Amino acid sequence: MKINMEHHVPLGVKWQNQLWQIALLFFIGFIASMLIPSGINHAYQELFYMNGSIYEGAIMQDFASLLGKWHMFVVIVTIMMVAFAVDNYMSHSSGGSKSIYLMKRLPNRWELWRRCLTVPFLTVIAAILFWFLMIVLYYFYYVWKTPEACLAPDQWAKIWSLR
Amino acid sequence: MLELKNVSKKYGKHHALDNVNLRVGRGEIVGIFGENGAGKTTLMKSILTLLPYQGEITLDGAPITRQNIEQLSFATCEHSYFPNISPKVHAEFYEMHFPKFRKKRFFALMEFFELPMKKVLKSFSTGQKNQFEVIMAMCQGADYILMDEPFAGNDVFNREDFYKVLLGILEPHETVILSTHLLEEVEKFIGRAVLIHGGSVVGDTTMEELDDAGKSLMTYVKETYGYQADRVSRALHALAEEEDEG
Repeated sequence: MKINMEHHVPLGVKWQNQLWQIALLFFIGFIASMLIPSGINHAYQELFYMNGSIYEGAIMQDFASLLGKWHMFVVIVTIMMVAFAVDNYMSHSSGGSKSIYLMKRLPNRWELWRRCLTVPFLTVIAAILFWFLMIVLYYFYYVWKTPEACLAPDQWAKIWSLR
Repeated sequence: MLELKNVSKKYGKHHALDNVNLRVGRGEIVGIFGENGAGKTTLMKSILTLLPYQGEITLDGAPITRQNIEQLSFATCEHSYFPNISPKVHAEFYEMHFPKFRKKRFFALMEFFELPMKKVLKSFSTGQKNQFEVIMAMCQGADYILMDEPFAGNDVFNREDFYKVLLGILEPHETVILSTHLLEEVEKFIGRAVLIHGGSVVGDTTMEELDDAGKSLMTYVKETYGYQADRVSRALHALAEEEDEG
């Protein structure tokens, strides 16, 4: 099924530009997420003496604490997408014409909102999925990297517990 | 029948519309006149449900909702087209949303006014933009075509062309409600004149009644508004006296 993106953004707005901006946002998010494996590596190194043997009773830092500000990714994307939606709406009153008058009197009441909200809404959903995927990916890396004796219990559960 | 019953609209303490009652039947061509700020635009926007209001506005007895709003079209001097797309894409969009879109009329009018079909609207001249705005309102397939100062910025020949085309193209069931300051120009084109002042309807007459009374539209408007013809000469005289005394 071919999706015509032009039907999901305000008429006359270049969806390619929106997509580039969103892609850039996700790229920056990905770069920011690299702090997590970097933190895991650092925590791993702290388990060892200089000679390479493990400290007695050493426990790896909790994965939840190594996530740092990663949760902010979704918050930032959501804020950006609210701004995107507002900009989409305002685009109907720019360029010397108020196409908002036409949009508001269309028989299909959802057309205006669909064109303003589809891309921002899907981007927030994608951001949540991306955020979760990165957590899963780095969690497996954390478990793989951490020596069994140093792995504290309930690491997965601790991610979701209120801190 | 488009019917307004006790329609009022307030902006803060200012009454933009004050208890307006009006009935417009199918096939009528009605001119709405009034000074700037009289309430003409507010009246149209209220009919189109673009503004909240008090009172009742009905179309063939039913309130105006998404079910019957396609019976109303709107051409405004503020413009309501999409500046970054071409007339061709506009036509596709209208076709998608207005099942009665008059494609044949659209192409005929575009050709008559020699408007480019594939250029984006923002590259049009002001006159062309106005023409396009009116064309879309006329081609939507609506029974009630509302026009708010649609020819502001068009030259006199262009406007003349438009009046002629409008008269020639309109079908008997199509209604035009036209707000304009160009009284003398539209005099021969309209069938009825409604005068608004301070948000209220202060005059409502047919051109036939004016003809019978031997009055021009301008005379009727001046009489209704209590326009004092000697106002300017009195003011100039007073000014001259002041200067003499000085």
